[in-house]
Amino acid sequence: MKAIFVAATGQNVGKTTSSIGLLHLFQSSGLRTGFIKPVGQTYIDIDEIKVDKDALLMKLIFDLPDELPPMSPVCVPAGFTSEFLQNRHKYTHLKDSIARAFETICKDKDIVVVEGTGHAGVGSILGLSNATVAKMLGIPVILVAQGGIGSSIDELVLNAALFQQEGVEILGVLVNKVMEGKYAKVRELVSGDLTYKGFDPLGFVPFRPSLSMPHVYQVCRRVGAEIIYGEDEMTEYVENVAIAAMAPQNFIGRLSHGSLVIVPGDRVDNILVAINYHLLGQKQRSKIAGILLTDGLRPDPSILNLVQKSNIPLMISKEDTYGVASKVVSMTVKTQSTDLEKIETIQSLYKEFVDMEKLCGKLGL
Amino acid sequence: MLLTEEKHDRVAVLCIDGRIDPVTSPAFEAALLGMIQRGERSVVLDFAKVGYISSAGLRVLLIGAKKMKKCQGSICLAALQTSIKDVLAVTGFMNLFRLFKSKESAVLELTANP
Repeated sequence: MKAIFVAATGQNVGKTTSSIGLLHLFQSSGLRTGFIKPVGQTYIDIDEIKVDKDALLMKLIFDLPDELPPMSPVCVPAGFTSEFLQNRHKYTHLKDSIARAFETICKDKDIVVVEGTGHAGVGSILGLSNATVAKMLGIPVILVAQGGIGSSIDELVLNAALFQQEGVEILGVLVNKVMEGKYAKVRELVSGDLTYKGFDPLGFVPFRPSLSMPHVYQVCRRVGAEIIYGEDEMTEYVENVAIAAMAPQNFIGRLSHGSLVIVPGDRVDNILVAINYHLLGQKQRSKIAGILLTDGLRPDPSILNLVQKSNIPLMISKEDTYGVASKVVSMTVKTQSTDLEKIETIQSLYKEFVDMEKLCGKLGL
Repeated sequence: MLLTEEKHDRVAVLCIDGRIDPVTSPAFEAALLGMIQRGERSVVLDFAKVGYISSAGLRVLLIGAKKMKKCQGSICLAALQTSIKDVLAVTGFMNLFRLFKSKESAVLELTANP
């Protein structure tokens, strides 16, 4: 049995994406795979327990046979760190819990992917930094770095130092979200520098904008909006955001397929522009993903009726346009088990851009 | 858990009565996949009498959705109770299925727009 610790240089760099890609590569090679998230920070209540979202994600995507509790042995909800510092004596079992869970997951497996949380040092306050956990489990680490040149390498070296301090072997580096226009340059320069610094590059995965697109329903939840119409149509992806705070003749140029229209509820002119764009151009791929009314302003029922007939999801928020737009633009979109197309994209990206032969060779698989 | 199948022209309905947990999920899976295998391409899952769904139940929904996607059909969920809606919302399952307030409205919509 082999195991690897997937760690990243920061939050939202692509640990979960890398875990999905790697598990797929291992599973499609016929290996018996397992997954564990030793320390989780984002949990959900399911099966009458709290489990990390990524543990549930991997269990569902890969139909993994293990029960959820050992896949997610320690969950750190908001406020837990204060509780820990005040009552440290109550939590001496955390390391043991992780070790026992890891042992359970490893049974009858060829390879286990252990996913870290945040950057290398996250969890230090509990004595459970990623580096400490990797050392405790006695497994090598794959570091996931953000696609780029300067800051990407700086962050990588900083994070690597903590693993090296703990004596954890760094198996290699995966560079994620490399912008397509700079791909060749990043690959050439970063690859050379990684090798120079003693790291082994395992792959350069290009950025795909579709992986960052939220569903209309995710936007609705993030903003805390009320759904007026179209609950059954909220499965569309938001491909861009159009803020309708201008005259209709200027606004129409901002619309494209998958637009989420954020509009004050009294700008009926722009609401009608969005409906027309949606209805007149559906065959040419010009579907409006949703209309999000702001300032709590609800248009006249005759206008609402038109939106309902157009089948565009309609939501309303009490917040002003700036507040709503800021929340939408700053959304971090996490992959969910139900994102079938995104998962297929990740799997094919990793198949094409990760050197599986080299990785398996280094793992002795 | 009690499972009842109904047919409304081209729309097939699976009415579920009870908890969808690790014990009952195999029967739910067999019924749903059986419908897809028989060639049903417009399926409504009536959740009116479902008060609990576990990860095992989510797994069945995901498998069903994947199989139906390959067949270019659709599965809709109807009459979700708030507790179920909450679980589906945090796990992302609301993105995967069209939702309807009642079995009747789902059948009506799928009959008009399969």
